[in-house]
Amino acid sequence: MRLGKAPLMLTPTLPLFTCLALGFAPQATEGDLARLMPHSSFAFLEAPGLSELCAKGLEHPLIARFLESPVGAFALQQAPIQPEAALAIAEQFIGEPLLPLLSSLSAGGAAIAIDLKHAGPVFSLAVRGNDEERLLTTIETVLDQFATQGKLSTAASTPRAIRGLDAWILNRELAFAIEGTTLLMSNDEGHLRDMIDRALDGGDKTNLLARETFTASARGDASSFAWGWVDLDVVDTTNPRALGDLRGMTTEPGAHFLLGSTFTFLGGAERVEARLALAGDALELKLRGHGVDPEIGAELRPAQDSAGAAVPKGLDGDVLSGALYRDLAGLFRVRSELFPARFQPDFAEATSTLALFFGGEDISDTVLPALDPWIGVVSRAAQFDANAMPDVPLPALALLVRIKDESVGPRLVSAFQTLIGVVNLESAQNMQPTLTLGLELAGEHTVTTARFSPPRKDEGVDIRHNLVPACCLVGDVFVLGSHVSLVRQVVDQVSRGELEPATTGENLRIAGPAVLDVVEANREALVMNGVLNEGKSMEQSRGDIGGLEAVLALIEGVSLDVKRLAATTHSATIHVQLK
Amino acid sequence: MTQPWDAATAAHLFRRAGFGAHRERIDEALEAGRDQTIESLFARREHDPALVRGIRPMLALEDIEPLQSWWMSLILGDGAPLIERIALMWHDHFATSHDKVGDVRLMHGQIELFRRMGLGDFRELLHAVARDPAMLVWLDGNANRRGRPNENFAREVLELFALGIGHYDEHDVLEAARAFTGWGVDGRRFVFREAYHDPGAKSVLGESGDFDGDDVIDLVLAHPACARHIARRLLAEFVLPEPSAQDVEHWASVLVAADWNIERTLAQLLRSELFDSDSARRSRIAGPVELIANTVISFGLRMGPRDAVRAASDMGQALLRPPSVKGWDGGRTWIHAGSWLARHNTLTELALEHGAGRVDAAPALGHPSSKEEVARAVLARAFPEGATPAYTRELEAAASAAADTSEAVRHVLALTLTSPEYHLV
Repeated sequence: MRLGKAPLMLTPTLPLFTCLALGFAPQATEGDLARLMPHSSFAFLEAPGLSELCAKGLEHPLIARFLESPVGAFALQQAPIQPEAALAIAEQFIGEPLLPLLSSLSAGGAAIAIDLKHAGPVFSLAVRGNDEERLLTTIETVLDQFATQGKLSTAASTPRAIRGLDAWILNRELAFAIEGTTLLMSNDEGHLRDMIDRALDGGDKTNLLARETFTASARGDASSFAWGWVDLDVVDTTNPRALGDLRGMTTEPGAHFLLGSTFTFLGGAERVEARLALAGDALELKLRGHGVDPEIGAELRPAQDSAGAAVPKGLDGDVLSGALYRDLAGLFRVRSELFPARFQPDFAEATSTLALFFGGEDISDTVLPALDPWIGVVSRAAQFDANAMPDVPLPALALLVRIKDESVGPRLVSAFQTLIGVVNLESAQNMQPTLTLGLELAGEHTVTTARFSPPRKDEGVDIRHNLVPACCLVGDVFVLGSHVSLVRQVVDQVSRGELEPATTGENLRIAGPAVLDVVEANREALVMNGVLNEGKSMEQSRGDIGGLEAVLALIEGVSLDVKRLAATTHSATIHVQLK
Repeated sequence: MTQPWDAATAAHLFRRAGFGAHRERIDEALEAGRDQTIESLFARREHDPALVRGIRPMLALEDIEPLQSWWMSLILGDGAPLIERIALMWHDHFATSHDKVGDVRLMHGQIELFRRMGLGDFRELLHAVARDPAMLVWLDGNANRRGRPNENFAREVLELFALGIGHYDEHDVLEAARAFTGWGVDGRRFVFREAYHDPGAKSVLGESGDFDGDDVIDLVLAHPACARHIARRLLAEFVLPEPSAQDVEHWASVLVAADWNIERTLAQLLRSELFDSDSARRSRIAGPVELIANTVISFGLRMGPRDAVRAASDMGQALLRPPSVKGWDGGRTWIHAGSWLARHNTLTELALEHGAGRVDAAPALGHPSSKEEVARAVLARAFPEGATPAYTRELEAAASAAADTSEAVRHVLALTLTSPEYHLV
């Protein structure tokens, strides 16, 4: 099949016009293709880095590292077809190497926007290249191949002219046109025609760049591999149930407690932008939520100049460390205005339960306000006694909290002792082993401990022996940990002032090698878990855990940073550092 | 007269001496013959050693569910069906629940005891169970002390484990309890605490002496009611739910003649006319574990062990958590409104490939090529002894109403598995 060239021949000046309108030399910059997209779009995704990725193909540092890694080798082993073979098939189909072609065709960027019509979502896709003739030839070849295979009628594969541009309306679900070096595509003919109008006429008032909330996110540079923008308010208006879980998170006390209020309020943002950056040895995903309500629950989020948490300096073998912000007293203070009525009984129950450990007081008024909301977190391998090495060894976890009122510190230690007593009572009722309270010295500081009796020889060491809870007051810092060995280490570091510099935002750092150590130490238990709980064969389960180990072996570390950038803007960044 | 060795007889053998059999195994059995098939049942020890060992790190989690799932995985794996079958029988006979024992390692130790010794000499098994730490915790061995005997274990040895009601009196219980004083658990090991033992003279089952626990067990084993009690148990498990007194007497003598060896006794029982008789076939209501295992194995379905454990529990049989020291009542008590609903839902999901049932049954049915073949193929697997014309017509109608062969397999299988007849084994 040979496509008619006439419509293009009739418009020899169009490319020049388009170049003037859009800039001739294609260069992928953020937001550039948004001028082709409908003003009413609620989601936009652009990949300025696609061309570079395609140009480097399998030799792109990230892809090459992945393919060379054990996990890449495993994936290739499982894949129905090898990448080289798949590329060869594609080359046979289109008549030239695929990746260089894609690189050329997307040299000016690629973007997709999604709009809503009565019938459902409508997409508008724009891919801008650097070679008009190559784009046309590729389309001709692809359509020709489909026609030859009987998957496309001759009529459908013949272009028609829309405002002088070559356009193909394949069916009710796919229509596209060529405008210079740019491929315009949609699943709605009306949208395609609007795109053509915007491409030819500018259409400043009808394109997405006219949305201030969008342009505030589009940076106009090309530093990201891909970035996206979603107007969550539009989604809410169109389908109030679509974001139910995300929106509901902001009024869930559990979400505030576990995830932190700064992260939780991201779920209440009016708009979200996401940015993915790729480097040879790292991936970074940045999320920003705009239009967060600055008033509700403001006190639950750290101020931008907040002091940060006491976090012990990192040591080799740290599994996890970081600084969290949990204003527990604040949660109680705002409980009636922020959380729905159904949670109020939970607060009442928590108040009465916690009172057990503090002489019957309502601690939301007394103890909790004395705790600094910043909490240091550290997790390291525990040092088990020689006769108490658990069969399933787990890393220990310690929390560090500054006490603002010195009278509260000793009360926390007493509460720890009371807690152990209550746990023992329940254990005794169930004929389970109990913990014995003790005191140990760590330098000048007294560590309160609770230990199970040592396991008997040759009887196996149960998982409970991972738990040797301990607490200690070091100046104004209260340290609470799941294993006394870690608590002693932390006490030593805090008393020497060996702390990380304070951060302005919440953060968690997870070490890939240390997590890998934990997985390897418990490989057999994890394998059996797959067999017994998921019904896998031993071989399958071993393969899965092997895959997990291979992925972890690639990762040097993962960090999560959550910040309040401005009164109404929160951000969360995940950074994965490869080895 | 012995029944002909056909698919129905072979399927009966596999249902009773194991947990059903896949089409290929029945074909192999028909080719091998009855004797060789029975021999191979005793010989099969085909569990993946890594699977058998793999539970060890999971025991440290102090959670009973992985242990339940592990045992179920051995049952569903069909590597050593008779061993798991006999272990399940002894688990019901010497019923011990984790709900009171509270120690996963002790429960594992007891199940391994049943798996290891279940086919051996019953006398050795009874002695071993009496020293088993899980049993001692379960029946308060540590509380059985001189001057304050705890009767729990002694009573169950006489009533449930070895003799049965009517063959002892309260005096025997009290005196036997005195003999077991000092038998307890230290950590996870059996311990004899001499200081707690009552060394005085006792009178048990008409005999007098300075008996200890082992002596009492020997006295119990020497009582004629003991062999009858165990023979009745074997007959109820493998042959008939309510055997005649004459059959019990006969097989008690066989058991004693076999030196109390369960394997040798079973080898004769499985070859007997009684075992093959029409009155024995389809005479028992399948317990939840055997129902699930039989379905999964016979139709080549896949069900995760944990899902199978939960389903069996919903139907009334939570492995390692029997309701009382009497074990599960079994028989007609397996079926009531709630348990029937659970059976119906589980088997329907399996057949329709929903939820836990994710594997096509077509291979086990020989890949029927048309809807018309489906009913015949399903019946051949589920009821090789044949079905009534009316029942067959119902299935054929369901198959022809299906959109295609695959749907016919699912629909006919669902109807079959949820029919009352299918729940008889």
